[in-house]
Amino acid sequence: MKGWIIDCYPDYEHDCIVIWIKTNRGIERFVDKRFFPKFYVWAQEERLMKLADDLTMFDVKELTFENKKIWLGEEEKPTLGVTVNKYGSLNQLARLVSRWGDYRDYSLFNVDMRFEQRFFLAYDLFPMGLVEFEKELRSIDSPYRLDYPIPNLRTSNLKVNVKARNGIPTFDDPIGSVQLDEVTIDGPEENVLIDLDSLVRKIDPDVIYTCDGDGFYMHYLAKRAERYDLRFDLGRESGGRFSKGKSYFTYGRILYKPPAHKLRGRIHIDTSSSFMFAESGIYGLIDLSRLCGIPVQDLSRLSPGSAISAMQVNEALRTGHLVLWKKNLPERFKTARELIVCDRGGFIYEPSVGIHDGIVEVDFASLYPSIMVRYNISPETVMCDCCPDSSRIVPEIGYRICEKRIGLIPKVLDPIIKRRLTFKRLMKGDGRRREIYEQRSKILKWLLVTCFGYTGYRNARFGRIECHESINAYGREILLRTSEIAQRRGFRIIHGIVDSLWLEGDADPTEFCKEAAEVTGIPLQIEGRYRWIVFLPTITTNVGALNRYYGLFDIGEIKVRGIALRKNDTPPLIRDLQTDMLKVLSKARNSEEFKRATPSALDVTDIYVRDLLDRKIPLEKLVITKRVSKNLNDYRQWNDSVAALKQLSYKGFDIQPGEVVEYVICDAGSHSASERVKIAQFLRGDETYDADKYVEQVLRATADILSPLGWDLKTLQNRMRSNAAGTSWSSIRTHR
Amino acid sequence: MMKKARMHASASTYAAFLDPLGGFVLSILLEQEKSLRALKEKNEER
Repeated sequence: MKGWIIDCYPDYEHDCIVIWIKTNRGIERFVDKRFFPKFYVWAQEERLMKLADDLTMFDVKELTFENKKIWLGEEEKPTLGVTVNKYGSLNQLARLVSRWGDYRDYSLFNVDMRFEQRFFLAYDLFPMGLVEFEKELRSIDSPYRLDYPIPNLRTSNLKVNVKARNGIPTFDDPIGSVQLDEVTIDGPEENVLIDLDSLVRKIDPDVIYTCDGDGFYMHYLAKRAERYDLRFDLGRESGGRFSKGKSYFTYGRILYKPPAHKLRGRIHIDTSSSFMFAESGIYGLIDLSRLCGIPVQDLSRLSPGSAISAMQVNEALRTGHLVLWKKNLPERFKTARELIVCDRGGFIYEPSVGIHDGIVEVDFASLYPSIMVRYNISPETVMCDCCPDSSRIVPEIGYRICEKRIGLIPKVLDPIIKRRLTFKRLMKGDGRRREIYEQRSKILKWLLVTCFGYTGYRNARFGRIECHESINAYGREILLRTSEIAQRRGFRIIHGIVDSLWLEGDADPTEFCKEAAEVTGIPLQIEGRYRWIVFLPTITTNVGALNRYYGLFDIGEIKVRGIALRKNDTPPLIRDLQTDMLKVLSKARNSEEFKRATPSALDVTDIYVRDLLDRKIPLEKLVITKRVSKNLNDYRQWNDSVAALKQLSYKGFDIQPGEVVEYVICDAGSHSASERVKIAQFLRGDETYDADKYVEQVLRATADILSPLGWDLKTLQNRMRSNAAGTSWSSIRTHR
Repeated sequence: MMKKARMHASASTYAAFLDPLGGFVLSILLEQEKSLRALKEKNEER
């Protein structure tokens, strides 16, 4: 029989791998008992012999001496392979060996890897790949195919309505109703749970989508079922696979990862917490799952960075390398001068603030990944031992790069870059599969974006800071060289960030891109020509800000970066305001017309201000969404977020750092948590909002767009006061 | 003066001065030179 592997996981009780295979007729459960995990130890030879001797006392399936490469690019060395009988004992045994060697004498390898990933590698299989199976599984597919048959997955959407007493559902609130696709089940709670269970079994979906199933609903349903002594499990086989939720800090933000609630034999995707699903949809996930060897259900809960790491690990293992457990690759010592030279990011030309006509934007496609491939940057190729006289030298910082071998990272990235370009090309055709290609191209884009950051991450399997520095150095060199070419051809550079340039002038951009691509070896593309573009200043200093601009392409499309409209915490009202203003401004065909359209844009602001003061704005338009960065007790200052947290805490809700709170500001000056804000979920509809506060936000959002034309916050406030004096507007002060 | 320095912050980073004051002072001098030149030209036009 033939079918696709849709789910795969280890069974720790029976020590086997369970594989669920979707066939054209239905679903098959396949158990593979051949597979036993193995880890490796390296030490001095006599110690290794002694260790092998000691290990025979334990429940070990097999001890083998094998020659393996213990670090990228090194020669093979004798290692001891330890195959365990019990899946659950691998980690214990590895920890024990590590302790025997005082955490110093033994280097351990291949310890903390996913069992399904090991299994796939061992038998040349991959998830979502087509297999043939009788007694054994055999792959009849290749992960790198561009067009491959996709299983016809049956999908269902699950939605739970909770009778929440306090607006926000808790485990103590009963189930109101449950919706599975078009069917709604309500009535007594016990019956709802029983009916849902049998309906899921009847429909037998392969994929169940939920919104916040991981964060709340799956756990909630199980808890409710406990009250009636029911066993609640939506999997094809009982036994869930859970993990705890956690708050973590990344790129200056606290984020919250909800606990995972994975099913057996069915794919549960939480659409609200899966970054990759939100970005690329199911076709993207399937494509990446095939490439990196992680089943879709697990993959949907990971970051693109974990996926690229998995691909690197797979490639390393395939080429006879071992993967070190608890990698500890110290950074080479650097002097202060070296650090100043090396530790820098991409190159930037400060934008010239204001409105410009006829600007051309050009971009390097996947600049950083392309640099890694083209200049062979990988942890084992930068300053390698084998090429001390290499002629490949990183600009500015002088690291030498290996000329003899292609590094691991370029080897992994090269096919991904090419694959993405192919999908992008296929996307342009208007076939039925356009959406599929688009999703695949999107997920690969995220893969490429993250792989650069991982080179600078100390704990990443193949991270090394010197790679990160080299990539940046090449990036700066490339942008500088490109700028020189642009200037020689008569362009003026208005702005440039890392991999993009905004150019003014009448020279031929196509010819320019061709020359730049030839010189740098990386394709340069025209993003578009703007009828007009406005570069915005930073709010505090008035100097040009990076990545804050909006402009109108000559094809009529508007591109917006960095203004309130694009931010997650902006209330819908402000988003509407800026969208409406841009709509008015987008009628302008050049900067002259833009300036003439400014009064009409200010009219839009006036309408919003008047509606706010006349209390015509519905409360849901005013909801502010804020990500909480600390626990309530750790806050020292008094602000809207703290008031919101306090209000939630009064009602018994504990918010973790990284989770979001939604509220409306009712009285910004109040010292009482219940008067200052109102949590969105608690709104009854008769609350009064703080009109002054929201008027200020409207004016700020206006200044956000129009400040380069002289309309900053102060000017706008003065204008409004004089307006108010002369028109029917009631005075703002008395309106509270 | 701070604003003048900020206008050349990226260029100063690229130059990688050992002492950040170098980039700071040069930025201010450059901007002052530009205003001087502009004023002179204006004066000559008269």
